[in-house]
Amino acid sequence: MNQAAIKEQGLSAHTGTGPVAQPGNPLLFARVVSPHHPDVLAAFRRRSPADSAVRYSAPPGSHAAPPARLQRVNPVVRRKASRGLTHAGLRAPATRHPFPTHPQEKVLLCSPVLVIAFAFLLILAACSPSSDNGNAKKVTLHLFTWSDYTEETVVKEFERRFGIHVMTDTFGSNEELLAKLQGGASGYDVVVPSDYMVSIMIKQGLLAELDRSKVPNLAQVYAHLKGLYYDPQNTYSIPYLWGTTGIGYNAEMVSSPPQSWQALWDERYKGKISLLNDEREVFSMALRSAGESLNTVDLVKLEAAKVRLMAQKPLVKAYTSENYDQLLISGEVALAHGWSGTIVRAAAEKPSIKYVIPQEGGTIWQDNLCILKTSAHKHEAMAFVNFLLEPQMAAQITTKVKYASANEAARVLLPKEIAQNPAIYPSQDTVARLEWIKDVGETIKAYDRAWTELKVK
Amino acid sequence: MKTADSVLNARGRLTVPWLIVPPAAALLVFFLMPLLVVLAVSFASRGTYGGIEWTLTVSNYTSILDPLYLRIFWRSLWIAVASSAICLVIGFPLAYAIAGAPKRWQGALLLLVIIPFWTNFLVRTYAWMFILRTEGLLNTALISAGLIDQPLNLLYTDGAVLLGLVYGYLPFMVLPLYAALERLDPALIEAAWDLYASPVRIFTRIILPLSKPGIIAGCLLVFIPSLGAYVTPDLLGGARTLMIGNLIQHQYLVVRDWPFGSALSFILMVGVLLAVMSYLRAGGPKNLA
Repeated sequence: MNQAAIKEQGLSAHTGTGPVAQPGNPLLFARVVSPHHPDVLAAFRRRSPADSAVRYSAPPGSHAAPPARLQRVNPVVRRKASRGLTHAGLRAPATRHPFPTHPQEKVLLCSPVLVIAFAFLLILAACSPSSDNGNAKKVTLHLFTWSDYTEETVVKEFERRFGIHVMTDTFGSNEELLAKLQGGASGYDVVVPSDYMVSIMIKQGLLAELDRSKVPNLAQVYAHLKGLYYDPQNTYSIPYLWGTTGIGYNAEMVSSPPQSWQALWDERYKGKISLLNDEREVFSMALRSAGESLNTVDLVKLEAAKVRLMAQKPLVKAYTSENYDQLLISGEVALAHGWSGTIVRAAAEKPSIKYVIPQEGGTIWQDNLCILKTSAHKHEAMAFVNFLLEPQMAAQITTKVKYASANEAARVLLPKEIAQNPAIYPSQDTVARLEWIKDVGETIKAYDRAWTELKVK
Repeated sequence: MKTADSVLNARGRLTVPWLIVPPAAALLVFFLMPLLVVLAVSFASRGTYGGIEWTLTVSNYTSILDPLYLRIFWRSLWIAVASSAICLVIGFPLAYAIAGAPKRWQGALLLLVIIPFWTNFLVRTYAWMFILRTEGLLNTALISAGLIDQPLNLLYTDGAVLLGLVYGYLPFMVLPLYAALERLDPALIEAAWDLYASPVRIFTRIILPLSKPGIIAGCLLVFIPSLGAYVTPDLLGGARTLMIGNLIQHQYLVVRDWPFGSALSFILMVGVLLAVMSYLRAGGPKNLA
């Protein structure tokens, strides 16, 4: 029924063209007019606010009674009316409708239920999991690090020994870390950026100069991991964990172990491939597979890499940096572009999972402990950084997260299957094939654009 | 309504004018000011490493016209419309059944619709990932029932995104529909039966027109969050294809082009506003009870 029809019907009830219902004696008409005439019921029905024809239309400022009061009379009228109809020997209307009859006011009773329900939603949404409710004297350090990257027991030990509380937040990519810090995420003390992000953060003036006398454990860091291109004097960064990027594969699902990045373009594994959801890593993979440097600033080479990635996209199940280990374990993917430690962890759960660094070489990276310039607890932060580099602690962390520790002394403390695992500690020959991701300056905009295009396609 | 009567005078004006101050201040601080910041940033330029450079430009808006981005808008629109439609088809019978249930059951039934909201949305989305994946509950069940030989490819598809959105926003459809249907006058249906109207005719000429406000409210409540959905396409869609929400997040957190992200947000907001206004106008604003 369209609106005009409703209006017409409603009007007829008021203008008296049909058998008009008089509020005083509706039964009079009910008896003489066939109950099948529409206007009989029109007079008895309770008006709903949704029914525009019976909308209360008194002009603002007039003292007419509000519509709710008009409606309140109706149930009584209706009850009388139906009794009258039955008494008159007429068949009562079939009650096949599913709605219970009740006064209009009861409608309001259910609204508290809705209100409470929505209030619950709001409260849940507003509740943030992080709140420090420790006592006021206790210093709280805020650590911003990669997901699944710290050993609980190590942090607990630090808290016990130094009486400092540590709160951990996580990020999923270097870009996310930078964006959140630029966005004014203040209050963090220690952050864990990778190599190229350290150089960007230094240029951005985000990092505090370290007092190396407070980090004596730096002396135990491998010489070749210190003074890297991004921070030649380790003025701002202390090497923490390092690793490589390669392919994790399920030996039960692939015909032969992948040797090359080309395996990720293999039609046989359509829908069984996952890639990191990480701009630089994905382009590194595509560039290296074509024999190019992964830090190219040549837009033609970058464009070619993008085209190759677009051709690959139909084969890709998902772009994820966070749960590809689960995808491998569950058999969702056969090949996962991923980071060494995460895949070694998956291998510990499912022995058919292996890690390989393709022959074209890939990324080597190092995550670093840095202290933000805005940190209010630099002294405590240095103690924390130094603590994480203690051989015992570093060994515990590496045992848990399966990424190689920068601390040389930690290696001898590791279980043999970790210390001797080439997926965690690759050989010198392998390392020679690897390349560090470097800041590409203005070209990053072209990378950004290409990455967006790939995702949009 | 008693309290409202005493606060409003006969002309509908506030008798205590300062009562308007706290809500107005809240709107100003939490809504208008952030909005103005977004608007201002959308005319700025991006620094090399992200950040904002105050070189005024409209290029952020002109670059939205790039087919690349228009395609994302179109795709998001399509998914949002589809999820609203599916929610309506599922939600209407559900709301009708709840409204028709005995009064004492209605509260409990509504509670059942709302209870899933007491768990974090992210957790529920992950639960869907476990159900949909190759060796997940659904595939395992179908295979053991002998219905399929090979596991179906369910996770990381558009279908999974749609499922996640429908699942997530169904209560937003059911609640307003319930409110409208609950208020529907049974006498009208009695009358129609009495007049030998067919069930289809009763539905199309009585139930549907009278529940229109609920339908409009429900569709808006599902459409708007679906349009800007971010977590669902990311987790259930495998970040393979972007929706507007992901594109905006991508601009802010991945490529750090805040001005462009702001322009996108602003256009999205204006678009939603226009859609809502035309929607309400089409449905008649007075009908939105």
